[in-house]
Amino acid sequence: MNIDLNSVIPIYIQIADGIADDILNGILEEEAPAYSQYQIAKYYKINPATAAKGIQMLVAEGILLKKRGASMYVAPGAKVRIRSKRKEHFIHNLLVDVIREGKKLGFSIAEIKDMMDQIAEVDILHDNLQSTE
Amino acid sequence: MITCNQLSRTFCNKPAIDRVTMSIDSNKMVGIIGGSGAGKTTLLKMIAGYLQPTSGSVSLNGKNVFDNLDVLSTIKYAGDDEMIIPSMKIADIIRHYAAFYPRWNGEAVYDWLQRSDLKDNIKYKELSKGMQRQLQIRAALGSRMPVLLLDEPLSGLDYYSSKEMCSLLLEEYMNEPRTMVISTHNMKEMEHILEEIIFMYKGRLILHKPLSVLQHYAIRLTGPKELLLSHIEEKSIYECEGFGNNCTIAIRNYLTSRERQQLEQMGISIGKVDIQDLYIYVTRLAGQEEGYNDADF
Repeated sequence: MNIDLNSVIPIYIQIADGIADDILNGILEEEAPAYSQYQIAKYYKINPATAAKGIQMLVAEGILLKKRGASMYVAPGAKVRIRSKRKEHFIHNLLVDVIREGKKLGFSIAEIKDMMDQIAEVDILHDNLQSTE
Repeated sequence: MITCNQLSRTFCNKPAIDRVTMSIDSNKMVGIIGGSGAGKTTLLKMIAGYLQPTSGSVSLNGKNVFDNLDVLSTIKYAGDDEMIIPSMKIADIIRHYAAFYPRWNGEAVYDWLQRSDLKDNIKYKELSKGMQRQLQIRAALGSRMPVLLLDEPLSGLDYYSSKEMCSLLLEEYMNEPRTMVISTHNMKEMEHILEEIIFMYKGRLILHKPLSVLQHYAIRLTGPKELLLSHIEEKSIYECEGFGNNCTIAIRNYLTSRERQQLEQMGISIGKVDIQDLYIYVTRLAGQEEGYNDADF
């Protein structure tokens, strides 16, 4: 998990995204303990309430759950939930932007599709695709 | 919970604190930011019971503070006019604190003395300004009072000591949660350890929000002037600086994250507005209109 205190993205959102990334990458496993607000606060030297807010976002989305008082655990099915949310973002935001931008530049949809095929063969994008599987 | 209700204090007919109304929940770290003369010290001293209100009230958990020994015995104020006799030796100062505060725990002081290689038979006046400050703040932490009012704890501290002090305050708070109200005119170091922020200006409280909300108040956009100005509502602009075709504007952040993404795709870069700058923008607004209300955000 990587937090940039100088980013325009609010810290609690970076924390929520960071925890979600760690779950997708297998660093945090389902039904195993997740980071506590105090661990995060101590490591990044931020107020625990900020960490708690990020954690709370994930609890509301069913990605983390509270067990035995204050311990945070990764919810069963968290990976699927995170992926599905990110797929939504990919389709409705990223893809839409690519198509709009491409059209603005004068590309046809067929051309955009061709370019995507070509680029897909290049190592860099290939690696990115692999790491999200 | 600390509650101020239309709290005012004048000195020689000049208002130092002007109708401040707010409440601070227990066990939160709250920062008060304001320039010199904004009223930070006066406000803290009134919460601590050192100064009597001219009008309005300040109470702790429903009980009025001024002249109330029960309440006063739970509050520790530490400003740089700490009543320490300059010729006292450090060891004696610690002994006095230990005797005065029933739950005294001097760890923060002893640890610092050891690491700084200071003998406890050194007199207070022989310490540098920064070292005196360290001693004052660490002793305040050692008092274990449930309400701690720290008046500019970083003043006089060098860069490294400031960072260390912020770490210490956070660590103490996490080990033993207590109410900490910290005033500063340098928010840079302090920002992230706080939960809520209060802005004071000319004795008035002009903003009181959680830190996480504050980031929504302003963002900085950089890009081609015409492109920027054609996509941004003019009334949201706090400040515009530029040279040639490029400019940077600071705006009240009314954009959704989708809208921000779209701007980025157009070649506009987006950055954070730090709290010090936000303070300047908000005080400019506050200075302009008498009926200013932070609910307008």
